[in-house]
Amino acid sequence: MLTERQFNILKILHDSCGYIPINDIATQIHFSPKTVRNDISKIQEYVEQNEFGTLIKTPKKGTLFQTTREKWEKLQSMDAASRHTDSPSARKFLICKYLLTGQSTSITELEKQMFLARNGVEKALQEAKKWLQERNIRLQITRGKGIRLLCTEFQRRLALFDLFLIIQKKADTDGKISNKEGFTYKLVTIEQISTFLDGFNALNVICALQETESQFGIQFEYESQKQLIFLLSLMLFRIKSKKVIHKPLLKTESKFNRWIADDLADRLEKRYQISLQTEERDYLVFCVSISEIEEFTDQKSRFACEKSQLEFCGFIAKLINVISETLGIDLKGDKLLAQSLFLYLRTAVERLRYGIRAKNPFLPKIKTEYPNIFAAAWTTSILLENDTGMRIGEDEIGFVTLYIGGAIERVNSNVKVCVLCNYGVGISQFLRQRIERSIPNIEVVDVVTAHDTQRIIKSGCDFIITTQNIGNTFAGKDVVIVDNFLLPYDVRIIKQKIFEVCRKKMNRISKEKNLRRYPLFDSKFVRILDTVRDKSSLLQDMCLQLEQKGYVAKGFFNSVLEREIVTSTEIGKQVAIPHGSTKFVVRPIISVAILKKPVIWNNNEPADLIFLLAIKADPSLHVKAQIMKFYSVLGSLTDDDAKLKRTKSIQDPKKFASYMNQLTEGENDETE
Amino acid sequence: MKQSKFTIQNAEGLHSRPASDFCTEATKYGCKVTLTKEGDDNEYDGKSILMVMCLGACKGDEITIQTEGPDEEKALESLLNILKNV
Repeated sequence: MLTERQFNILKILHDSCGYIPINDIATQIHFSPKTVRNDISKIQEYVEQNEFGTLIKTPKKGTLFQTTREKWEKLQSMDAASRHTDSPSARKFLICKYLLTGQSTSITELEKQMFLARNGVEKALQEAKKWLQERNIRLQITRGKGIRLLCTEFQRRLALFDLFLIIQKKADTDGKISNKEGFTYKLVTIEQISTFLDGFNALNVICALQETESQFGIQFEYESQKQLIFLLSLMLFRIKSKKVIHKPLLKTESKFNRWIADDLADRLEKRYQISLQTEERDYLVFCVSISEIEEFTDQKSRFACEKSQLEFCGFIAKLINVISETLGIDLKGDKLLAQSLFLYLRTAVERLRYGIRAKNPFLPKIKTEYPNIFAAAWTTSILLENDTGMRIGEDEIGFVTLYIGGAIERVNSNVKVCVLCNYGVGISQFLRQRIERSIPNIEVVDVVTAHDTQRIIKSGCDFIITTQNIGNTFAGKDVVIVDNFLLPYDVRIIKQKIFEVCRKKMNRISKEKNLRRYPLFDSKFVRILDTVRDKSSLLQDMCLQLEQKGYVAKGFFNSVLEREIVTSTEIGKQVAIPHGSTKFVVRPIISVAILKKPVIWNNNEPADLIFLLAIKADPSLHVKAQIMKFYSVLGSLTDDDAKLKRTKSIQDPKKFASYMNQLTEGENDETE
Repeated sequence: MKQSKFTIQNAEGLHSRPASDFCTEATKYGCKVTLTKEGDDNEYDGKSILMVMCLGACKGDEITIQTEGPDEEKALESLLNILKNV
């Protein structure tokens, strides 16, 4: 293997189109000519042994490196690979890659490719075996016959995709590629794919994808697009070595995805002069369906996309409706929210169907910044499971939270005010201009005088801004008194008022009319404990009790555990909401555990207030409203530290149950 | 601008298939199509399946259809027709 300096010398040799004197190289790399001369001998040995080309040394002229483009690319990727084998995890991934692409099929080959001793390879191989097993790929090592992977072609591609994402992410964080100057996004993608797929050139894939995008008037989201380019390249790369998919894949319900996939297939067939079988076309549908569309430039396409998933549209509408009611803010009319949730979730659901998880890097921040929205967004998970049987995790819920948060910002930015002024039109119009210019998210709906009480009421404004001393409230509205010339101090007061209005809107809990009450809490199922052994023994106790009392069916506990594996249910502020599959729920109930000493929930996140949810939206029980109410109570708990502390300090199961029932039944509205 | 009120008659309400049929018809026209519902301040884009579903009109709900643009009259007429037949 070459040292970094030797590789740099080789690069200089390669880049100069002809002979180059040793002295020139020496000046370029700031080493003595003697060092360079020694290095060149080693380089020559390495290059010629591995058949990467030849080095010709001619006196007076210098050195010439003769190679082909293919050989040079191979050398580069091998060099890059061997350079990354210092850490154990890098070794593991490299072995996985060699095995998955079929570049190595025995331990001896791995030794050679990785420049490692047998001992090192075998150690890393054990790690690689574990990683592959997590993806349902079994390794079979037979003495004398080498290593075989037991998996379908599709599983193999999924694992390679996973691997690509890991390696690419590592490269990005190391800043190896993205910081290079003059590199466009397209070139970076091409380089990354070429390195990973043994010199495969993705340029034609990118062109085909761009054509399809403009044909349909769609734009894939940045990351999705890059991943899509990789998945398409991977297919072509595998087909080149006659590795095709034989087993049929899961079917997608969206015809729209199929149209895009078919269009892409036709373009790729033409550009690469191949013919794609049905299974490979299905693979393309898979690739398209896990790629998120960011935007439609053609509204007809948006329409076709929505039309091809009518049921899912219905789900989104229902979701927004429930979230609006839970948060007490009407978001139903927000087109952008509906459209972005639709586009995001339709892809997220498909990804989960294939077990592809996308980490949400903002999750910890989302949990602390928007605890009440995050709690409300959990309804997504429950609704989705009810409607489609699909489960989403907290990463996805985190993204949903961001979309809702954005929509709420939009609602808030529409704060409406009336300007009240008795000095005549001139000064009031002047004031209006100043207000609108100084505070961008305010809308002056009317300019009135103190006589226009009715107009103020009708205007639907949130508060009044005035120069007159008319008291703290007027015509049922709050009043902010400002100077005629709107001083900086006034702007601050108005902004403070806007903030208050927004908070009120967010904390408003929808009032339910005359619903028969169904208590979700029961003192039997409230336990106050000093310590517990661990999370799963606590959950087991709680589930068993529910099962014995006939609230849940057998299998509930396992479904709770499964859920915990999929995602952590800690929603912030040490509150956890573990829950099982709705199909095991006989009668809706919420079991509670209050711990004096927190238990480790997930990834070192402690929890001391646990709500085990055994709920389903049973229409005959009128329980839906209470469940939604529970979520908004949950939101207000995680949002308000004092309230949370008060709740946790209730030391009596009976009192706790009735307190929670009161909150969820809406008798004791604790709105601020 | 033209507008007309309509009371939803079918049991399913303006969901899934009916919503899709309505929007398919609406997109045939150049004019703006807006839906509103009694007791709801929002305006819903009549050309978006998602938005029509968000409107969530059920049987017995009174909705207002508003068309605005060059072919508003024809659009309103044909949309009312669609609603009667879904």
